[in-house]
Amino acid sequence: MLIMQPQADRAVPDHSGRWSIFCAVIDNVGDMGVCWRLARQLVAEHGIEVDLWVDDWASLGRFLVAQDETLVWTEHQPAVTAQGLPLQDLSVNGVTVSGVTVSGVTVLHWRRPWPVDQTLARRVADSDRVIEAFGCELPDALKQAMADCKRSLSWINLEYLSAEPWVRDCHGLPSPQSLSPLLHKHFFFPGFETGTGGLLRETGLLDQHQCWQVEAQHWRRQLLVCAGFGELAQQSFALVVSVFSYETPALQSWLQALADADERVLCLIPQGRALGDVQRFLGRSQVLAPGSVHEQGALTVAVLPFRSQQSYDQLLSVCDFNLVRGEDSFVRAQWAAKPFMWHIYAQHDGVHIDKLKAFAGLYLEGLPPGTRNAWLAFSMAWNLGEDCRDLWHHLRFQLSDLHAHALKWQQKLSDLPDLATNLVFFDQQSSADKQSTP
Amino acid sequence: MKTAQEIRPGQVVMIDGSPWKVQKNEFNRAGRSSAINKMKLKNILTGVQTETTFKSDDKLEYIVLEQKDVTYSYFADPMYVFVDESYEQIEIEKEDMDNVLDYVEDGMEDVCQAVFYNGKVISIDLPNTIVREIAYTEPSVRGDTSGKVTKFARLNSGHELQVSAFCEIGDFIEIDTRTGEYKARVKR
Repeated sequence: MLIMQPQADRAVPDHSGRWSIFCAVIDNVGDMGVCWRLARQLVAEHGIEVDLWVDDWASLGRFLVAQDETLVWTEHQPAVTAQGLPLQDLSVNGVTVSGVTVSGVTVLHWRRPWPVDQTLARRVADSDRVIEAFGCELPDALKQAMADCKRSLSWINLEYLSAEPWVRDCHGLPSPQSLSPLLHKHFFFPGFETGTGGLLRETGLLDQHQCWQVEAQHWRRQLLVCAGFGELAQQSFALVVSVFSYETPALQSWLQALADADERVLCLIPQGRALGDVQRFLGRSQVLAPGSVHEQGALTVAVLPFRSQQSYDQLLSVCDFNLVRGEDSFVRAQWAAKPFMWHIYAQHDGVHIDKLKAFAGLYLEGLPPGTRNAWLAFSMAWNLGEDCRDLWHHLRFQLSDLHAHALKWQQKLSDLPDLATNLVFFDQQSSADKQSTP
Repeated sequence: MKTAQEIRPGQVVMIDGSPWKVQKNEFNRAGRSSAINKMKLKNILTGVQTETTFKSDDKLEYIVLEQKDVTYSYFADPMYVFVDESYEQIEIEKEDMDNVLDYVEDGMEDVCQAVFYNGKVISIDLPNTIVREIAYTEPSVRGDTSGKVTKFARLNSGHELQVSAFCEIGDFIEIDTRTGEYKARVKR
C-alpha cells in the first residue's frame, strides 16, 4: 500500500508551539476520527506539537488499534499502556504528565471530572492554542486555569460541518469570554465554500485516490485478500458498494433491491451500526461477524473488520457507490470522488433535513434534472427511513453521470485550502487582530 | 447572568468591562445538540460595532438599565422621536431601532420602553404583543378556517410576515414581537 507523502511543491511552514485539542466522544467514533486526522496533519504537515485529549479512553484505544495493528491497548486502566509504546513522562515547562505518543501525537486522557490537581490544567494553559472540537464544553476549572495564566491564549471552537449559508457568516467570529480579556476565543466552521474553514484534506490524498483508481481492480482484489475474502477477490461483480450508515429501515429495502437485481452486487460493510439491519435483512439470528460472507439473490454481503482511516479511504476509492454517514466518512467519500449517499446524523427536531437540503443544493449544482432528482429522491427516502427499492432503480442508471460529477466536485473542493492549513493561518491572522475585538 | 439564547436585541451585556448593546441575536443549530447565537453588538461608550458568536448556553453578564414608558411620535431622519408621560421628547437613532423598525408606523399607540444608559437612550422595546393592520395580502382562501394554512401579508410599515390564510386586507392581527410571528386575527 502506498504511503501518503507531502507534495514537493508544498512548503511545510515552520511553526513552533503546542496545540491542545479536546474531543468528547458522544455516541460514535466519528468525532474522534476527525480530531485524530486533524492532530496527525498538524504534526506531520505543519510542525506543530499536538496534545489530543479524549474523554472516552476505551473507545480511543479501539480506534487507535484499528489505525495501527502493532498497538495493544489496555482498557479501563488509569494509565495508558500500549505495547511498544510505553507510558512516557512528558515534560513541558516543568509540568510532567503521563501519556502516550502515537504518530507524533501526544494522546492524553480527558478525565471527568477534571482532576483537582492543577498539573494537567497548567499543561493545557501553557499551550499556544486550545481547540474544543465540535463545541465540547471545557471543564470550568480548566477554563479558569487558562484565564489565570495571564497571557494571551488562542481558544478555538471547531464546530460541526454544515453547508448552510449561515455558516459563512459565523465562521471566524470572536466569542469574547468574561473570564479574561487575554482569552481570545473564535468560532471556526468547516465548510464547502470560500469563507468557511474548509475540509480536512491531507497533502497527497487526491494523488493517492488517483493511484488507487487507476488500478482499481488490482486494489479492490488486494483489499479483499487482505480482509480475508480471497474467494471473493476471484469473482466478478457488476457493482461493488460500501455501506457505513446508521440504523434505518431504508437499508433493508435497498438491500432487497440489490438482491432482486439482474446484476451481481458485492456489498462491503465495515463493522458498525448498520450491521443490525443487515442481519435482519438476511434473516440471521446471530450477529454478523467480521470476515463473514452472506448471499441473497444477486447480492453478496461481506462484513469487514473496523477499518483504519487509510484503509477506509481505499475502500471508498475502489467501490462504485458508497453509503456514508455523519461527518468523517461523509467528507472522505467526497475526496474519493465516487457516487455516494449521505446518511446524516438525525437530530430530534428534524433540523438535520435542512442541513441535508443545504448540502444537496451545493453538491447537485450543474447536474441534469434527471440525475439530480434521482439523487435527491433516494437521499430523502434514505434519511426518512422509507422504502428505497424503486428509487434505487432510478439512481442505478445515473451512477455513471454521478461519478463524473463526483470528480468535478472533488476538484472544486480541492481548489480551497484544507481545514488544517486554514486553522494554522486563521490563528496567525486572529493573533494579529486580537486587539480589534471586544 | 443570562444565556446567549435568552438575550434579546436591545439588551445590554458587559464584556471586558464595557457595555455592549445587542442589536441582533440570531440562533442557529449546528450539529447534534450544539447551538449557536450570532450577535451584532454595539459598544455604547465608543459606538464601535462588531459581530460575535456564542454557544447558545454561554452565560453573559446582562445589565438591567433604567427604563421609561414612551409612545412613538414622529420620524425626523435619522432620528425617531418618542414622548414620555410628561411629553418630554426622546430621540433615538435609526440604527438603534433595528429590533423594532419592522413594526414602527405612524399613529401607533403602543406603550414602549425606552432604555437608558448613563442618561442616553440606547434602545426602544415594544410590548411582547402588538396589534397591526394588514395593508396588503392575497385574497382569502375560501373554506379554510383552521389557521394552519398561511400566506404572506404586508403591514403598513412594509414588513411582511406569514398570517393565516383567512386574513384579509384591513384585518387587525396580533404579533409576538419576541418571535416576529403572527398570533391571531383580532377585532378592533
